[in-house]
Formats: sequence, C-alpha cells, structure tokens
Amino acid sequence: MPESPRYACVFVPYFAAAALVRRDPDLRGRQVAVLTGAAATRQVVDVTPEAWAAGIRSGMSATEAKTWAPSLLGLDRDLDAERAATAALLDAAWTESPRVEVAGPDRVCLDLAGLPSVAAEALREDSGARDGTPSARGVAASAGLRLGERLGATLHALGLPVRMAIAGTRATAALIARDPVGSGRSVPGSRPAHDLPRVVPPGAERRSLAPLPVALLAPPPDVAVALERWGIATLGELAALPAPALFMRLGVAGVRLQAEARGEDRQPFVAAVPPEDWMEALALDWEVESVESLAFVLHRQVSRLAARLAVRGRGATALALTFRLADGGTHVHRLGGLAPVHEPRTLGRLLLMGLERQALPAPVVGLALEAETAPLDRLQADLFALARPSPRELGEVLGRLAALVGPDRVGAPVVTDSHRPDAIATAPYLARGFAEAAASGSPASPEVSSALWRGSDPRLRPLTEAVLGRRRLVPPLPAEVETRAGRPIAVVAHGVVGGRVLVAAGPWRSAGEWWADTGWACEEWDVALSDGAVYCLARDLATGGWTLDTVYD
Amino acid sequence: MVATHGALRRDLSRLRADPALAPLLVRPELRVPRRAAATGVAPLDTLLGGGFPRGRISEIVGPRSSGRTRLLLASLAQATARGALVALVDVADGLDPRSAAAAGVDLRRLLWVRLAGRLALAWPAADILVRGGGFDMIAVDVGDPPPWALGQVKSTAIVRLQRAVEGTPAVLLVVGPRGVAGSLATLVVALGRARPRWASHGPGLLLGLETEARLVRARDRAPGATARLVWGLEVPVVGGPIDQAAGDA
Repeated sequence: MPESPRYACVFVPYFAAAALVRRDPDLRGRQVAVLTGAAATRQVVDVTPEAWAAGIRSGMSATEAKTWAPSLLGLDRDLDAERAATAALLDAAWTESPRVEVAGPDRVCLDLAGLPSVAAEALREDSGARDGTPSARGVAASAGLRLGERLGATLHALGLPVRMAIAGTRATAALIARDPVGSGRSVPGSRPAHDLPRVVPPGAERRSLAPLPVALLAPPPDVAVALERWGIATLGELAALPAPALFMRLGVAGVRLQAEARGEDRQPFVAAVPPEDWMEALALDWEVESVESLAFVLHRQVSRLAARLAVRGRGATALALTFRLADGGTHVHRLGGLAPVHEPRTLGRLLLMGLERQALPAPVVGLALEAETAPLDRLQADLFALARPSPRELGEVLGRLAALVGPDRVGAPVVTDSHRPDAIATAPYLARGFAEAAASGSPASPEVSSALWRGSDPRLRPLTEAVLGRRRLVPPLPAEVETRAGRPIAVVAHGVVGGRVLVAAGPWRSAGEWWADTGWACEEWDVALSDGAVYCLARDLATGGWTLDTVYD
Repeated sequence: MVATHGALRRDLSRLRADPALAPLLVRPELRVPRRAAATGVAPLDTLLGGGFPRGRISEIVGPRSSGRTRLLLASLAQATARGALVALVDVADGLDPRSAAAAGVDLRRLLWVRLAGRLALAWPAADILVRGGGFDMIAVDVGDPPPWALGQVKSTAIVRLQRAVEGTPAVLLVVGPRGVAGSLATLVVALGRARPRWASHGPGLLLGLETEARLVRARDRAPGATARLVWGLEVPVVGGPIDQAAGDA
C-alpha cells in the first residue's frame, strides 16, 4: 500500500518581534513593538504576544501604541535578525527531514514521507480510522507529538517559539499551524511553546479546516470585502462554494483561496538547498567604542551561531567578524585555520583573543559574524589508537596559533597540482575531521616498505629513504652567476651564499601556465658549491635572472 | 568485591596465556607508549637508543646540506605512519610539501605553522602546541638565521618550553644550524657536512647525500658515537657507476 504523504508546518508567530527577542533574550516576556518608518510616521509592524495581549496591533502609530501601553518598548525592525531567525528555523527543520520547503520567512514545511517514525504513525492512523478505536488513535497521535516536541525543543534552544501542525497536505498544515485558537497558545506564557503540535489524521484535512476563519488565508482587501458581504466566515463555507461561480465573481484569486481552504496543494513542493550561509548579524542601538564593551554582545552572537552549528552537526573552521562603523566604513576581523568546533566558549575566546590586539578606527554600530563550516568529527574514540586532542582542544590550539602568527599561516601543507617552483598551498588542518584521516588509512610504514625492498634486493634502499630532502629558500635568493659554455661555474647570492661550482648537473627545464598571464618557464641546475652545500639554481627563461631557490638538505 | 577482582585477574591471566589470543592482546598500539619515538632510520635509532626521548627537548644541528631536513622529515613520517598528529613550526617557511610527502609524511596529519622568518614567535608557538596536547611530535625548524639571531634566543623561553613538555608523551625537536637549547636539551645529534653522490654519466644526476651523525649529548649514552646516514639512492636504478667523490659530472 503506497504511503500517504505527510507534511509538517512550523510557524513562528509574531516573527519580526520573535527575531528581535532571539537577538536580545533580555526582551523575553516584555511588551515589545517592532517599528518602521521615519520619526514622524513610525508605525507598528509586529508585536510580541505580551504586547498583543495589551491591545497593541500592527498598523498602529508608535504614539498610539505608547498611549495604549505605557510600558511598551518600541524597537526598529532588524532585517538581519530576521534572516538569521529564518536560517535557524531551517537548521532545525533539517534535523528532522532532508526535504524542507521555505513557505515564507516565518514558516517552513517538512516533507515527512519515508521518515520511519512518521510512516509508522500514518499506518496506525489508517488502522485507527478504520477500527475507530480510541487506543489506536492515541498511539497514532503520540508519534506525531513526539516529532513535534523534538522539533519544538530544538527550536526552543535556538530561541524561537513556534506553532506546528502535521497533515496530509502542506496547505492544511500551514493553516492549522497559523490558527492561534486551536493551538491553545493564544495566551502567552500559558504553555511551553513546543508541547502542542497538532496532528490531522489522513483524510481529515477538509474537516479539520472547516471551522477555521477565512481571515487565516489573508485574502486581498477586495476579496475579503466580497466574502464578508456574502456571509462567508469560515474556510468550510468557502470550500463549499461552487468553483465556476466563484471564478466568475472573484477570478483566479478566489479559486486559489478556495483550493487553500479545501487544503489542496496547487504548487509542487520545492525543497530548499542547505545553504552555506552561516551568519549572525546584529545592529546595535548605541555606539560602542571599545572591544571590551563588545565582549558581552559578541558572546551572545557566538552562542546563537554555535547553537545553529550544533543543530546541524557542523563546526566552524573560520570566522569573519565584520564591524559596521559609525563613520560608514567596515572593519573585518578574521580567524581561520580552526578544526571544526562549535563550542561557544571556545569560539568566543578565540575571537576575543585576536580582537584584544586591535584598535577599532571608529565606534561600532553593528556587527556580523560569519562562519565557514565543516562537518563535526563523528569518529568514535578508538581504545587502541593514539590519544588525540578533542575538536575543542584542537580548535583552541589552532585559534591561538592563528592569533599569534596569522590565520593564513596555520594549516596542513598540500601538494599542489603544478610544477611551478614556488607553488605552495595549505588547507585547514583536519577540516574534515579525524574520521576522514582514519578512514583513508595511514601511509605505508617505512619499516614495511623497507622490508619489501630489501626482500627483493638487499642493496636497494626503501623507497622513502631514496628521497632527498629539500628546503625551500623563501624568498628565493637572487644570484649572480658566472657561466662557461652555458654552465654555471661560480655563484654569489645575496652576498651571504656562494662560491665556486664544484659539480653542476642540468639543465632541467620546465614551463607552465603559458596560456595565462601567470605563465612561467625556467631551467634548473643542481650545483654543489665550494661552501659545502648543494643547491638548486634556477634561471628564469623570461628575464634571464638567476635565483637560488632550494637547498638539498 | 575482592573475589570478583581476583576472578577477573585469573581470567585475564588465562586469556594472556592463550596463544591464539596473543596477537590480539599484544597489539603494538596497546602497549604503553615507548619512552622514545623512533626516527625510522635504523642506524640513527641504534645510535640514539631507540629514538628521540619523549617529554624532552632534542636537537638536530648541522649546516646546510647536512641532511637535517631529511632527518626531520623521516621522524615526522615515522610519527604520522603510527597515526599520530605532528606539528612543524617553520621559522623560514622552508618546508617543501612535495618532498615531505615523498618522504612518507602524511600531510593531513602535519600542522604547518609558518612564521615568515619571525624567530621570536617560534617559542610561543611551540609552547601553545605543547600545552594544547595531542601532538606526538612538535618540531621547531629555525632555518638558517645568522648566528647573532640564534644568540638572541632567550633562555627563559626555552626553560618554559622544557617545563611544558616535561611529563608529556610528546617529542620536542629543535632543528637548526647550531644548538639553541644548550643544557636544556636532553639529546643533541650533530650532522656533518654531507657528501653528495652524483651519477657520472649523461647530463649528471644528484643521486644522494651521505652524512655522518654524531651523538653530542644523551642522557644514558656516552657522547661521541657516530652513525653513517645515506639519503637517496645507494645504487642507481638504471645502472652505471657512482662517482662518490665530488668531481665534475
């Protein structure tokens, strides 16, 4: 029997206000109004549940709202905080289902099809509906409740109060979740935000929607007036109207609303792609002049980002903290080369460590914290393997080193796909965790390769020992070279290295990137000088200049 | 409780005596970490009595082309082959990743800290690595600074490092043209100037370096012992004689 589709809708009521409260947890439980517009025409666009209970509504002027509730706190709308809240909502949704649709900045829909717990629930729902037994229905509801509670708890940890519903169509789940009365949470603070997900049994979508008010559909003003004139107050009444007649009177908008009222999905499910946009931004209401004063704000921002990282099982490998300055400029502080880490204490300490040495050119009016991330190390500790530092310890070590020598100077060396003599690259150290290093195994032990070689010919040395050590001279030393018949016979470099050439082997010519502006061509000589050392002497074929760029050591 | 403990000990003894289980019970990784970290170079390990001591400062000193870089790479390769994490504080940014990889170093396990010639940062960087823990070998390659620069290294920084590494399972290796740790280094190996080996036919080919390692200081061994080290090919792969003396190719 094919599995019936199931969707969950997660909705954040009072979204703009909730984003502000998430940004600043001290606002929790206070009457807050979100304002937009210039000073003379400031208008309320959203409120917290506490302000709603005090009679404040969207559309009021700031003055009017203040008259209704003298203790009301009016704050500017923060679009950065709203974007971060939407991202947090998505992060939480992806912990339950890989297919998530962004239905709006304040809501997401999860496709629950195929999820084991929900499939079992649907089966019980079907049998319960056929049997009509209260026990079967109870078991069925509990599976949905568990999923909802889990998701609600995750979002609660991320600082977002939500309403949820599970149904067979996205439209039904969205309308049920947006209904403040049915959720039993119209009174703020009456219940924890994450304990009442509503589960609509399969096939009962239209019946569940019927008593809900038409206003939930947010119809255009002209349509709302028409419906009111016809006496249509509930979704059930709208759903019962004949569709052709409705189309003739209200056009496409009317038919679209009716389909929604019937709980029908008219658009295909568009799954969102998990973004690599890990940013938490904050606009300050005041100017901050010193780094010390920013520590408190920064700690909160790091905590929010760390909570999101933890939910998605990722860690930060690099951080960029952008300060928006009062003079209109920006100042960026970067921290890189970290092992994936998501502990807020470690991240905060590393950021502050680097900041302590910096003087800000102007007071700060806002800051944005952005992270590059990688999956956290999920390798189970091996009793028989060597002890390794935890990701937190390693992250702290790398962060302290980055603060000491610069983030771009700490990492794992990488062999580049180029023969260019100065081609050097580094990668974040263990950015993909210990798991990858362990899974790909270790290189052959020198003893093993030694045994293999000696087994075939005792005179042959193991392969690794047959390699000469090379030490790069950074930067390469410009050299004056005396030649005879094209071969170097004397070298003086930088006034400190040089001498007569005892042996010269070469030339070895190489070239590359001739198709680009970065093209290069050189010839190399291995030379033993009278100072006792053996060098690699290079001549740039484009300029004819000589350099000593490597020592055999 | 006592009876249970006794029974467990009897069971363990019986398991240990079982020859079929012996390979499982005495896996090398199960052993307590040895007091010395082998370099993987047999003559040198014999000279050092097993390798570089753990929880101590060791030094490799030698001029350019003495093979000190190659010996450092061999030690790092041996450590990463055991699955350990290693770190290199590279004062002169001189590491050549390609030759390191060819020498057997697992580059993913090597943390490379480049200092762009800032020798003074080498000691705090090493201090962070030692105190952070988890690294089996921490090497400080000071490069080839002028003698006056090495003379300016503060002994307090080395004392602090020595205290930090003491009691840890890590090997702290300092590589340079001459010693900087003085009496704080438990083991010092001096490498002499290498003799290059060239192929005498064709356009010439550098085949290898031959050098001599001399034990300058060791806790439990008499100084002065030497070992011959040869890097590169002892016999050419294609054939032909090797001109062991330094002559014209």
